[in-house]
Amino acid sequence: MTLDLTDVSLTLGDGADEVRALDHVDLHVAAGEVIAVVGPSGSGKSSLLAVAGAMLTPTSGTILVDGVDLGAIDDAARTRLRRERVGFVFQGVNLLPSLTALEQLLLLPHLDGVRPATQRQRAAELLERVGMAHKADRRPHELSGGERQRVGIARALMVRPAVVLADEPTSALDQARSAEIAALLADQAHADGVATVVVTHDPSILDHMDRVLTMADGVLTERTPATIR
Amino acid sequence: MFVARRDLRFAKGRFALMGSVVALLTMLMVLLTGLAAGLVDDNISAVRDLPADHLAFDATTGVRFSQSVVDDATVATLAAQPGVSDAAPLGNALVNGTGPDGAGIDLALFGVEPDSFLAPTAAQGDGLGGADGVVISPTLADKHDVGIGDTIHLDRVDADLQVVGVLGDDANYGHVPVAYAPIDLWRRVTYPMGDEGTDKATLVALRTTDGFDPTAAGSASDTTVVTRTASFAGSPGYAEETGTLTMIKCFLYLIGAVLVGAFFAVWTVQRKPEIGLLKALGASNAYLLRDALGQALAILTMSALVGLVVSLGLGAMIPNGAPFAFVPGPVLLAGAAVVALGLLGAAMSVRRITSVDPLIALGGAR
Repeated sequence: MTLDLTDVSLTLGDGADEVRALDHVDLHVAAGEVIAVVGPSGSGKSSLLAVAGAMLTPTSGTILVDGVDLGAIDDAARTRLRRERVGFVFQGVNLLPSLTALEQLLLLPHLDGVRPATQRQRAAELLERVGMAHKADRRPHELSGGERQRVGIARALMVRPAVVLADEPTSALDQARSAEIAALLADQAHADGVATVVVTHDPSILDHMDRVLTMADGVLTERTPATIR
Repeated sequence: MFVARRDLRFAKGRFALMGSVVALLTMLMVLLTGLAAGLVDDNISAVRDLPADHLAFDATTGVRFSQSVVDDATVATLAAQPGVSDAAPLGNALVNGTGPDGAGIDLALFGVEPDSFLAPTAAQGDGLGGADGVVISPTLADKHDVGIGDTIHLDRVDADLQVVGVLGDDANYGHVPVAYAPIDLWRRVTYPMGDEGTDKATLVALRTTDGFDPTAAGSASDTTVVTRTASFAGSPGYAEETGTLTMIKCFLYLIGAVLVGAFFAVWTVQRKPEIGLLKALGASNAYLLRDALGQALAILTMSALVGLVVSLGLGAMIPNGAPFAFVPGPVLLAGAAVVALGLLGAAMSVRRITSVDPLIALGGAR
């Protein structure tokens, strides 16, 4: 359950508006490893998640998700791979407003054609693991920002993904909550052996990461947490 | 429908608003359909219920009940045509008279030979037989309190019609009730000047078999032969009435489709972030379209059913005598058309789901 990017570049826009979002990026995330990617806005962090999550096709380079070459499969297969092998944790609007916490998790097997009822036990266990079992029947507007993010993490793990991609998972939280969420993400990744990439602006969560990389103008560079701070 | 069902519950206010519009539209369609059926009944039910499959009109006037004139020779010629099993003259005229209470009565006088296949069967009293005896539609009996044994006096020709029987079902023509009279009585009333009209009638009613050729029969007898259904257009005002109501219904269907389409267009735009999120989580376009159209079908069907039930209740409250009739086929068809065209409108709107980019979930390409 690994993520491998080899010599990946991504160019967005045309002509004068052309931007090099990713510039010859190499990245290997091992099973159970949690890495953080930090950098200023517009440096290419979210583009990195987009190509790794099969939402954007890179201009060049190779991406392997759990051994599957994203360049060798069609759109339908990429959609299926997102559904079955990749867990996303989004910032902002990350839960569907009409679904309860439990249903947010049950949605994923349903998208995959599996009867949600058969997955109820796993969904309940995951909510238990992230400390949200007691609010399983609450909708997003009845949860705090931290609680919503916990449900988002549980949802990302629901399909037993090979890779978890987290986009600013602590952006709306205070420092204490941020550390708690980061620890939770790291613990789950270590426990399930999931290769996890966390894109963040938040230096307070870096202690929970196994490695930290910086992104600047599309170039990815490995750093130590001490350097970042 | 995993998300769609929960959206229906979660945003029930918005969907109830849309549903009430569809329900009201369905009610309007059903009531209009009832009105159309009622007007048709009022206009041509007596022709529709004739036990004939083809009608032959004078070739020079064409299919016009008010102008066509045929005679016994035409009846005989048509009776001899291949495929004609029965031919009988039918006289048709709108007349005015006074009832037993002296009140004015408008009626359509249908003259038939008492021993022909066109002779009516009375549900009460006797059938045609006597020289002045008529069998009337129950509408005439109800509206003007005319009963068996009463006399309707036709002032203009100074003739009396003796009511000898009442039909089982309403029979109307040109929005007035029908009285069946012996053809000789009809001729006396229609041609009061004497012998001139003794063998005349309005048209020839035919019962035919498979080998019948309307064009050949028409050429041989100098008539225009049409099916009974095609003859409806020959009733004064029939085409205009049905055309107007059909146009109103078409506009309502169009308005319904546009309204539903507009609602789902706004709904889809509002849900764009959620659709992007669902796509990022691996939902395919096919799944999302199924979900959205299933949602539209559910709300349309429920609302149309509510509209149907309420309009049936309202229809039951419409007083007798009003031109209104609930015919199950057209009413159900109207409800189904509201659903089908609404779904088409929704489909035109929700197809933009396919263009939503999952990158929205990551805040777009940053």
